[in-house]
Amino acid sequence: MIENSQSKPNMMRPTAPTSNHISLVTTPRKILCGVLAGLAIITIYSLATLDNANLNISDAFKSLGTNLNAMFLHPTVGQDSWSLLLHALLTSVALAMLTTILGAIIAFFIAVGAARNLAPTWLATTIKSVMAFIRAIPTILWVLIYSAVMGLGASAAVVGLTFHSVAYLVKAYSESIEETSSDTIEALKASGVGFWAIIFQAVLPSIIPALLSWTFIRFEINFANAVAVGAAAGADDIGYYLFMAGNFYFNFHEVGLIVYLLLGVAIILEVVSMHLRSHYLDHN
Amino acid sequence: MLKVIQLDKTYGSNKHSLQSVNFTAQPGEVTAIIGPSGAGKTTILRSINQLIRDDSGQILLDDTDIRQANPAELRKIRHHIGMIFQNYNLISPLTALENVLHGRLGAKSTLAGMFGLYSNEEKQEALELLDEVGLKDYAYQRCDQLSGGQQQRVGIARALMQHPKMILCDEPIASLDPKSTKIVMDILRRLAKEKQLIIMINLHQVDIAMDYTDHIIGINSGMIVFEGATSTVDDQVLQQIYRQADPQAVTANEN
Amino acid sequence: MPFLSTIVASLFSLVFAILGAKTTTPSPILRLVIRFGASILRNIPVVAWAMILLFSFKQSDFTGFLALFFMTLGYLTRAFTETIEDLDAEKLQALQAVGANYFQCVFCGVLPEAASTLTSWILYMIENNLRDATLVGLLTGTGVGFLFDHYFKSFHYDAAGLIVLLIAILVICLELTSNQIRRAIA
Repeated sequence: MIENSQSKPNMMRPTAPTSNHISLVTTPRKILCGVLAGLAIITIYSLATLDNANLNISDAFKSLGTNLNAMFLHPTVGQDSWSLLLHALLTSVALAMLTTILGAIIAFFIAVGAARNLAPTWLATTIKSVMAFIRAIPTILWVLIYSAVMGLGASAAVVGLTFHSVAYLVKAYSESIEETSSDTIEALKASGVGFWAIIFQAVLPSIIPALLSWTFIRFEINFANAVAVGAAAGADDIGYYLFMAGNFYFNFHEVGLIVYLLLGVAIILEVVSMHLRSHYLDHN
Repeated sequence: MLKVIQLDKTYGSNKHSLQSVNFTAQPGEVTAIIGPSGAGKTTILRSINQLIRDDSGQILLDDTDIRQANPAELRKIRHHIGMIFQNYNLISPLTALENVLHGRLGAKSTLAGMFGLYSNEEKQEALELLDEVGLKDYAYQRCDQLSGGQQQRVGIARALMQHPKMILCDEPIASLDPKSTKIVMDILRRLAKEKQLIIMINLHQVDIAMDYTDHIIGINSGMIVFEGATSTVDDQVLQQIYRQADPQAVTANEN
Repeated sequence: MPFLSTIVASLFSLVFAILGAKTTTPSPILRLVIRFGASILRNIPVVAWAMILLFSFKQSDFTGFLALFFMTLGYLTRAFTETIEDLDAEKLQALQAVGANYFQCVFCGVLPEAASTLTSWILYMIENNLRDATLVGLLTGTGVGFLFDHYFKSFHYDAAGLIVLLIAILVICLELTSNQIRRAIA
């Protein structure tokens, strides 16, 4: 026999199969199969109970074909003008940028309190739970909730978007901070460096790439959210015009044009963020 | 018997990876390919089962030319050639037993292979092979929970499950500690003798090659500079194998 | 509804991702087409999807389902493709060397190796879609989003608040469960 070269034995001593029938099923796989089966059941149930409002599916798909044709092959500005739409698009981008930057700054300071290696456990846990709760409620609902207080419009949108961004970024930032080595922090603490000095001299430089990349991801999300807010809560941006063109004027052509504009911005954002990230990573 | 005749392979425009490679390997013998990094050891080994397509030449395994095979024939030939790797290349979330059973894939129908339907005899055989490499107790262990040496032995069992005529070993011990190295090399040598297999091993460590192999092929810059019994290898031969090629060729190889 | 669109989309995404991942693609042209398609689907905001589909599918659950479906399809195809490309290509070579054909390589190599990562992506996407479903509901007048809108616009803030609370509880429960599942299958 050959002896086993593994020096540390596993916690549970593995045993050779004894029965004649050799099964290939293991516990984690059972769980995985269980989860997939559960999801499949939910899927079938919802498919069966899907409310199709007496819709003729094949007709609907056919009309979708003609509509898509009208939207994407013949886009026009409809009853709004180019300058109006571009201005609205700019508003959306500005809204996304403003809320991301505001959110990032606020989130960074809160994240310091939520990181387990910097803050006391009770504080970190409290902050994280509160943030999890805020995150759980969709952005659009926050905007509507604030609009009940501040009235529909841009200010409710800014506050609502920022609010959700903060919750999202606190989670991302605090997890990045927790990944920095605690040895460095302890060494600096031992030599009597102040709390904020540690954060700006030791923690921040090592996590900047991670922070940057999370902030960009959030920027992309916020752009989509800004459009959604415009459509659902009437902030005066591109989403609003999209909603009006779609729901009130039934102007396929304008919907098509707006979708093209959104697609363009989204792709530009993606390219820019990819470049910035790789640029920053190269110089680190 | 494996016979390689006039094998050529070029990467890019002017980088010769293999130049007129000729050698033979006998059943029951362990043959080592040694040489400096980038000399083309891996290229030779992977040409034999056509994981790397070469440019010209002949590879005869028992008088069948592997290079002429169509995809279906190639799969059948590959089924009888075991391969073990430096990084083991086991499917890590699966158990050791299942990884050994993968050795049967080449002999199974597409569907049976896809859904992992193995007969009880096959499972029994896989278990016996695990026993043969000393891992019967670990059959139900996930492969990423095994040590490097154990994973490599699972890799050997997988190769044996193919009922191979030949086993190709690409740097099998490069990531192992000395103790595991000894275990793995002992198994390989024993298998060659017991089952009359052709075993070809790429090696970095000359001392291991000297201790465990019967036949040595030395290559440098894609050319065979030595072929002969291990007992005939001396310092002079080793110097010839490991001599520096001209500096430009070295940098080209390192790229 | 978020479950439905995520699961159906993930089935499609899996096929597309296998066809589109560098390591497993049958042809480079197909790969480009899939990448391009996924990028377009993903970059059209869910609001725009809702508006596009509203014309043809009216105020039915189907609109919401399809809007979420298309966006999820784009997202998951990309995520799955990257997961598959992150796998060690050598492991697939090992199976090829055994004599396995394409389908056997995919089912015995790629899927088991990537299963737990793929499942966590699906769980993540369900969480995400649960939130987006509210938005789609608001816009297309279906589901819980419609209920909220109804109470909110008629100034029944107590009922609207209850709905918000329910959504929050649902999302948090889902997050906790999927964390548990992720740990169990890792």
